[in-house]
Amino acid sequence: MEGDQELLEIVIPLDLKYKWSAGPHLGTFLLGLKAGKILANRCPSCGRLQLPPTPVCGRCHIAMGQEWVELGHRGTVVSYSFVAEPMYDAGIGDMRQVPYTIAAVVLDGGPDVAFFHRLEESDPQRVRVGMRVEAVFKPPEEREASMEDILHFRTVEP
Amino acid sequence: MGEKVAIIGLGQTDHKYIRPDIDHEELINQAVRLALEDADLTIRDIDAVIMDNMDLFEGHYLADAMSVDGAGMYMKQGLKINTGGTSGASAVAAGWHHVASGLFKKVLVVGWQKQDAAPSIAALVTAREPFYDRGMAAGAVGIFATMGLRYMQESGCGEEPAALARVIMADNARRNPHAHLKLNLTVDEVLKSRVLVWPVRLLHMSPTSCGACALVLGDEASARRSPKRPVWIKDSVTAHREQSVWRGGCVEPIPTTTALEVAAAKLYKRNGITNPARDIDLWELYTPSSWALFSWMELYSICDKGQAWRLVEKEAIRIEGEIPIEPSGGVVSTNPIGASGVIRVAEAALQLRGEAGERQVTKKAETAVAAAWGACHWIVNFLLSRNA
Amino acid sequence: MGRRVGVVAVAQTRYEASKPAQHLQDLAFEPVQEIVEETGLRFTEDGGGIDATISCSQDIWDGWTISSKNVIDGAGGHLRPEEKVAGDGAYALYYATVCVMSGHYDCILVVAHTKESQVDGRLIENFGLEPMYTRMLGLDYTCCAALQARQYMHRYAISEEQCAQVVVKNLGNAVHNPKAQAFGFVSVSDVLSSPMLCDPIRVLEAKPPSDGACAVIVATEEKARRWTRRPVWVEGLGCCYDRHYPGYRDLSDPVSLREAAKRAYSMAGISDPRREFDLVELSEYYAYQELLWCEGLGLCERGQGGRLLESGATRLFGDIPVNPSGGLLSGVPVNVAGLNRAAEAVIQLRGEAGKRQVDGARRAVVHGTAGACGQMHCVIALTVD
Repeated sequence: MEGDQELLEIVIPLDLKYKWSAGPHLGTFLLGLKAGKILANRCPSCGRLQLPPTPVCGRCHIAMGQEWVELGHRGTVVSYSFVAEPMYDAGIGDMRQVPYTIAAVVLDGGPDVAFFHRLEESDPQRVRVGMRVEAVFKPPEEREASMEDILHFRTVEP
Repeated sequence: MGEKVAIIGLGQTDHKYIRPDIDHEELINQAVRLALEDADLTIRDIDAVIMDNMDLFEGHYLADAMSVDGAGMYMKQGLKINTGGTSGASAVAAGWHHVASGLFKKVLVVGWQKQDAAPSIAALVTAREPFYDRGMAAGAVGIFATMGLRYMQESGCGEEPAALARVIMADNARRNPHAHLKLNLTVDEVLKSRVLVWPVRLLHMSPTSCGACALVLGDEASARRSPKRPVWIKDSVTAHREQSVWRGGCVEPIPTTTALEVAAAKLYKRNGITNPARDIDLWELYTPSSWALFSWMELYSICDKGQAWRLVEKEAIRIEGEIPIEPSGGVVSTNPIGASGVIRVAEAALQLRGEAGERQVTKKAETAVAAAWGACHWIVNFLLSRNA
Repeated sequence: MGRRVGVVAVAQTRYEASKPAQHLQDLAFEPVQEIVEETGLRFTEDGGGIDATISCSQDIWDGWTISSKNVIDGAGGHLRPEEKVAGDGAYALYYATVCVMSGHYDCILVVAHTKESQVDGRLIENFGLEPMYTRMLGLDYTCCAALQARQYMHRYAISEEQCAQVVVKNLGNAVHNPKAQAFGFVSVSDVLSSPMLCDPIRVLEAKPPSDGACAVIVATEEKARRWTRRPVWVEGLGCCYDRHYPGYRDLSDPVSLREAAKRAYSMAGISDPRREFDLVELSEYYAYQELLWCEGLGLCERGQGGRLLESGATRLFGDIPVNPSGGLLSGVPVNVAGLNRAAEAVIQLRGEAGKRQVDGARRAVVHGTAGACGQMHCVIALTVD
């Protein structure tokens, strides 16, 4: 190739719209959110709770059955991130506004897994591992059976 | 069946941030030609070509179909593997199975990524479940932030050892003509770099790179005829991890405890390795963030839990050290995703051949572990040796 | 050939135009659950069951980077080996066979899944074409296929009616296939009056979009004999890539298919496929492809695909039935296709095909393809004792 040849490029947007199905397990969970509940399902073999609910227990390799458990809206923060670097929002096709805080919360009565959601607190002095938080739901008429039915988590005063 | 398999050729491009001067086939072709030359073979000698690439990241569908000419796949057998960060290593494992089967004597494995083409961060977000957590994504950075935070709390490690780990990788990369980031860093500079998600800073994270890496794998007869010293793939262990739990994030102390530990233990048990730090001479691990290094070292039983940061502080992991880790500069210096797994194996092989030039480890190197890690917490390990 | 590999069991979902009640995870788990229950095999470490999993799906179809995430939990991936082939399902079976022959695993579960209903596949196909030279022309695989069909039909005087007869035959065969999505008794004139997609390909001559999943278990000879009363042996396998840009290829001459078939036949010791095989399950994404692939598979001379069909030989009760299952025209998802072809052939060779059973079937050839106009092909020869 000649050293000074013009470098050509082509830009082609990839705009694919996917219509995913929630299926019965995640579907029950999302409808639960609409009803103001956070639901997990239980493995009939090892007794483990799954959050998010799934059709199969990855350790027992069996179908999860129909046992559902309602978890508390309160929980304990096990990790958090103050996100400064903007991330792409696949839902709106654009970059998110920063900063925002994501918290990993173990819900009361829940399995030993973290529930990720936004935390309504961006002051590093006021956030720590071990603090107690509570889910704030949108008013019932605004809920749409989506993770966004939970507005965010807020700090619970000790 | 059960044929012995050796690496008889290898080649990689010089990895860069963008390559506006070539298209993906030319990129692949560079690595393939280098590997064939290294093996003193032509494409006619190759029985099958195994390619890996994360095509969604490229903005392509069936990227192998689009790379036939460049990779020498025309009229050849072969297939495409695509598993995430582990892709390159999974492709090498596929090559290993192919030669071991006895059906294919010489197999070309090629991994590549031309990440300047498409927004791979956007594609990476699609690893999350759309209903549940695609909206909450904090990206790959978040995984390492959680890991780092936990590690600091449990081991008493401060920020300096992670910064030092990054400096050591930069020192190694400067000796590697193929490395992407060849930075001249001090601990101080790392500690001052921009915080992404604490304690992870910009300099702790791997870049996105364009690059390709190819290996020629051969059976015993091919290895005997090879002009270079063959490096034998003694064993490989792959372990994945259930996904439904990860989707929500883990509170296990280190999210990868399970797959990494299980795969390493299996590799050691099957091959009579009882003291990894002593029995293995060098490690090309897959460490996309300096904050993962300590966890990885402990999960591979290189040292006891909570002690890895001290080993790093003592600089034992340097090229001149007793436990050289990622003498190539590692993934944190160079990360063309589809190629990274292949690069780990190629770099380890170069070391065992004694051909790693300025980055050649000082100690005598007979065996190596090369690995690739995927962001869903799975791992592919290889045990490589100079001895058949 | 080395270590003999046998198919122990197969399972498939029903193929449907859309499965809105199922998450991708539910879909992938369904055939796995069935095959595990049927065989009693578990995911084990001690060689007493399934040693590893090979999944087959595509990130871009699922809209999911690392599309095997939806397969892993149900298919025994936790702390165990799982590798993903991102191509047609036949390749996943070929790869599983190679893995067992390597001696590294004794028993492998293969599972393929795709839900075409959740996305506009034509856009994906467009992205399957090289960007600088071809993609912006607005081609999808149907357009490319139409170009191939036109060239093929022109060169060998293949008629529209012959292509239409493929549809009549396959949809008719599918009536007897409980898994089939589309089936029924259509006439040549029904086909030729269906709306035009890309001339000369009409709606009824194209594989309809489909949702579904398929699972297959393969094992060493010793284990296959232990775990099923009728193992189906993989006698031969071969695959081959042609060049990408359609303009480089003589689209009326499927060289890569002939090469793939040659390799598979050589391994299996087959010299006269027309006589030695009892049935064929091939991947006809479009009606004309069945005729063209028959030529590539060596069932007839070049250019004679139309004549072969008209002779009646490829009908359900002809002497070389092609697609007794109903083929892809009856609705099978991309990616799953080649594995489904294998599953259907296994069902035939085990004598379990009910009303579509080919009498005395002992040897079958299975075919999968990917890329525009059949750029790459994979051929697998199966037999029973």
